[in-house]
Amino acid sequence: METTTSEDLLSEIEGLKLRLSEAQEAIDAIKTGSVDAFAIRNDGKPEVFTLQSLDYAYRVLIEKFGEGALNLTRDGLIIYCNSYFSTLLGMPNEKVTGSYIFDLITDETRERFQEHFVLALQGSSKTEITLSANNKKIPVYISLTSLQPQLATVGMIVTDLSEKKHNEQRIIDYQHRLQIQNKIFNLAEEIASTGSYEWNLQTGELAYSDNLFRMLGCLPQEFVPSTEKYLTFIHPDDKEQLNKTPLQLTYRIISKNGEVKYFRTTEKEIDDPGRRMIIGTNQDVTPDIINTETLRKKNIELEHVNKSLDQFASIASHDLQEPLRKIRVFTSLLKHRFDADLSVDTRGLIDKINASSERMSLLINDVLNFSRICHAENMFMRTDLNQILDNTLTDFDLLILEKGASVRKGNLPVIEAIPLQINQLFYNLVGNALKFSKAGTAPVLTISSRMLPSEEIENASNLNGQLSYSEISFEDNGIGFEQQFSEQIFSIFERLNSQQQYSGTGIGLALCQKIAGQHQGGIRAEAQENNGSTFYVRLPLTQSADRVVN
Amino acid sequence: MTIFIADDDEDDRNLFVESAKELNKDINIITASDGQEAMRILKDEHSPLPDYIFLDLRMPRINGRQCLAEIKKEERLSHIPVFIYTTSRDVNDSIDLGKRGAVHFISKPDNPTEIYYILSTVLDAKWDQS
Repeated sequence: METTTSEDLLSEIEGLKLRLSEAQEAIDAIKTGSVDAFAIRNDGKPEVFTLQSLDYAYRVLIEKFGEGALNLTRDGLIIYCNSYFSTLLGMPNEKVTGSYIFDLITDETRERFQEHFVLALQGSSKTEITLSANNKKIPVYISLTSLQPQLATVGMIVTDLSEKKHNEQRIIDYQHRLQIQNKIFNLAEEIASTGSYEWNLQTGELAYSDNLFRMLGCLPQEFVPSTEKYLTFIHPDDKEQLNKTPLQLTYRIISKNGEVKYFRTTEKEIDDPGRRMIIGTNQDVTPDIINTETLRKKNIELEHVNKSLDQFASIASHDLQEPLRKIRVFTSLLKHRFDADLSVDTRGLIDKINASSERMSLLINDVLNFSRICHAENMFMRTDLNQILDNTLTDFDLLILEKGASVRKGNLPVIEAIPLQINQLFYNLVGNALKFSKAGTAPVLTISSRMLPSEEIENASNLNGQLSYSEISFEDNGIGFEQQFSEQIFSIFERLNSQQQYSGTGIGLALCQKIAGQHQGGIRAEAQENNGSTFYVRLPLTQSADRVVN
Repeated sequence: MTIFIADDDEDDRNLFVESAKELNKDINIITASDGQEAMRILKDEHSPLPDYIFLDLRMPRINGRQCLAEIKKEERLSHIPVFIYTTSRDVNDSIDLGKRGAVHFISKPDNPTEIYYILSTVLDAKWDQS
């Protein structure tokens, strides 16, 4: 057996101590994570072991857990950050590591960070700050923890609040919009005199808009809405009509201050899953109802008045004609019975009496016709002006023959008109043309028409710019008149010649003007003294629909 | 022959009577100056029954239309030809009264001498009551 000396043992112990110390160092290094791998001399051959298997799982966790993770020195130097964090900042990882965390925080939030960082050096702290990098501002929630005693660093977990903040902003925006909509809605209700309500059928909750309270004569939200309470406002006579759901009804309420109002209620059911509701609108239609009623009454009154006027005119004209008839009867008798005794002069006097009474008769008829034009009922219908003209000319057959007159007719349009009145109009114009002919000259009457161009319609103050017009001209070669009288002649009872020269009541042209006006048209004249005249009648092709009967 | 005339106008009545007498001096003419008097006379069974009745339209109290209606209701009177003798020249009146049973509608002429000729034509003709 070899003798082991104490020196040998001591040297072995030293060697073992060294190895132990190395091993301890290696283990320490592994524990603190500052070693990724170690090599072991194993019988001369070094073997490298990496510590993947030990901390790999944690590294994967840190990289992938969807939050930012950093390791900071007590001075705030970033000695490690995960790729989530660098991606969040939009910077490469190498640039982030080695920067100071304070440089990545906005001025506004840096102070807060520093306060919490100080706290975290002793323990831990959480707060919200805003990171700043690449001109991006990133709102984040951070959790700071001292990693003592194992490490002399502070760990920081970063949660990105961008989406949350974005959603919060959206909610604020929506709330703002909702406030505006509500304001608009309330204003609209006031303007439209409506009040609305929501009735949740599941919870039984009932809500009224502010204006509904006002419409009931109360202050907004003055009482807790309920069906029973609403029923107390309903007019007793109308209560039983409110039994259908959903309601579409007009009924009366009596407001808090005793006013009777008409409400038109329209309800709608909402049947979404989890939400069964009835929404309704009450519209204060009191003015409408009252106006309609007033209008109806006024119309009836008007009808009565018109009927009375008509009757009056008829009776008045008959009663006015009676004495004239007697004059005619007795002048006839005079002439008949005392024929032999009457001198030519006396007979002449009697004839004048007769003529006057005849004229009076005509005048009364003309005045009656004139008054009737004012309130012709809406008897506008499709009227062929050619036909009316032909009828008129037929009426004057005899006179045309007597005077040797010739008539040239152009093509006239078909328009919406009152046939009887157009008849009267044409009758007067043709009659005038024949009556005011030049002595010794055969009358020539030319009737033609043209469509009025829109500029002429616009320039004419008496025409309706929305309608198309035809202008019918009656041209004659008679005695004419001075153009300065061209407007005067349309005044009622206005004459340019004495009664002896030309018979007539002086109403004819006034009647023509009135008829043209009744049809939304007009009439004017152009003439020269002793050189004929032309009368231009403007009539629209159509009238408004409510005037026309078919 | 007996003729009955109801007319509120004294002149028209007189002219009518004159013309009738001119036609036949033996004509018996009964007059009334309003509808009420007319019906009283006509309904009186003691008065002679006229061969012809002439009615004015516009009369106070009871007018010509109403008289016509009452005459047609009376069995005793309904067969008598009734003429409307009026100032009205309205065609519609003529048609309407024809429907109510008047056999003829006469407009009072302006020249009263024509009444003679009207009467001679009217009183000569045969009037079918159906």
